[in-house]
Amino acid sequence: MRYKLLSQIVLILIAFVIIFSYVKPTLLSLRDTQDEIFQYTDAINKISQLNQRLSELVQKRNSIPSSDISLLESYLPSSIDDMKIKADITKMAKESGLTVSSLSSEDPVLPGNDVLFEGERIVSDGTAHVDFTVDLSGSYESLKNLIQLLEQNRYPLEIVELTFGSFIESDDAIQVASEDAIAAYTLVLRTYSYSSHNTSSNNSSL
Amino acid sequence: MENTQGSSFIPKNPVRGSVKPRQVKKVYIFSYIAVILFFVSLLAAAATFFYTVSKEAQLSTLKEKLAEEQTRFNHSELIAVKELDERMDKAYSLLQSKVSLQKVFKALEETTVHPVQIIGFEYKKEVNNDLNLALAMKTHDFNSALFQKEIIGGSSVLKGASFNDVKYNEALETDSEGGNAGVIKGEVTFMLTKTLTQSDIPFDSTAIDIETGDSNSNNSSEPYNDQSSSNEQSSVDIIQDEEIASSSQAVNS
Repeated sequence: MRYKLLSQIVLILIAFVIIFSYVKPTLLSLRDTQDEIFQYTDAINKISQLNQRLSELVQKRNSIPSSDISLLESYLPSSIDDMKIKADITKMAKESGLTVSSLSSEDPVLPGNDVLFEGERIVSDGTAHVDFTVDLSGSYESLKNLIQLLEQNRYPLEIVELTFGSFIESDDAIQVASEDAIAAYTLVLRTYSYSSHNTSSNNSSL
Repeated sequence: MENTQGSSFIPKNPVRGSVKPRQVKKVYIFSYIAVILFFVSLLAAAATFFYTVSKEAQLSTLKEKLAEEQTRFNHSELIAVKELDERMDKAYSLLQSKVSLQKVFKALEETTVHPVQIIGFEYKKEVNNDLNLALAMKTHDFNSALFQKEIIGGSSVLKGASFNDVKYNEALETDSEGGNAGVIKGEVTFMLTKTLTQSDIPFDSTAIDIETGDSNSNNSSEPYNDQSSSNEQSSVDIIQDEEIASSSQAVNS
């Protein structure tokens, strides 16, 4: 009788030992495993979707004609070739019938730098730009020809500033009104470049 | 006949069969519980073990699948696509914000009345994309100035421009030799200012191509090719804005 009771107690004890030393901790650790499984499943779904989207985009990119890509790269190059652009501006001015008296470029303005203008925060559009200041002389018609060439250029040569004549009354200034008269013009032209490396490095520095 | 029953072989007491005593089964609930608990714990341990094994197998399969997907993922392709997309976005936004200064000149040519002279011109694009236009103008009398103001009010580009800094001077007119001609000449000078927006003077490549067909001959000769002869492309050419815009829209969509 006593032996039987002892064996029952031992059985119960073993049962509790099994439950508390193996079953319960294992189930607890399984909860972590289960979470990991959810995370991995989620990650796999996401990466599968990403892979699928990427392959669609690659297909789309490959479907763009290479001529369009090269046009795009001409329009918004990765870097600005200062000398080439100066040569182009000079050539265009000459072609338009204007004489270039001076041509200079400023330091490139890199992307990622927001600007405060009259209390307003102007967010950078992610492109770098360089301004070219050119002093010209010639007729009004020549100036219009140059502006047309600039506007139709393969890459942007945006007119940021144009001044001619004088706000102080003088006989020379009045001559601007005459079509054949020679006048002096100051143009500030801006061209842009885009480089993802520049953008990311500048953004990260911010 | 006296007591015949005394010798009877029939027992006086009824015959009693040997009745087995009823055995009482003792049920020990405690022992049942102990045994059940023991076996349940064993079963639970076994189930937990197999469940753990299956979950770990599932996890390792998922890890392998993730690694497989990761190797399938081409980071350089993603960068290339992203860069192209961003480049198109920037190019598209540049094209969208492009303005045509020729429209300002055209508007001035159409609206400047004969006695009025433009003696100064200043156009400046500000950081916030405002396009500030300032013109210094001169005429001989106020009638012309007022007429000029009225004409400009009807121009789609210059409408709303403000006239300020109006000055009137009278001076003796000089003759061709620089001497005094003896005639008093009036002079009205004023400033015309307006902040233009991109929508006032939008760039329209097709319209300009048609209007300025003569000047396009300059482009067709590809005069600026010598600097970029290495890539056999004219660096100055009529840009194909619509192509870039349509390609960029296609990718954006």
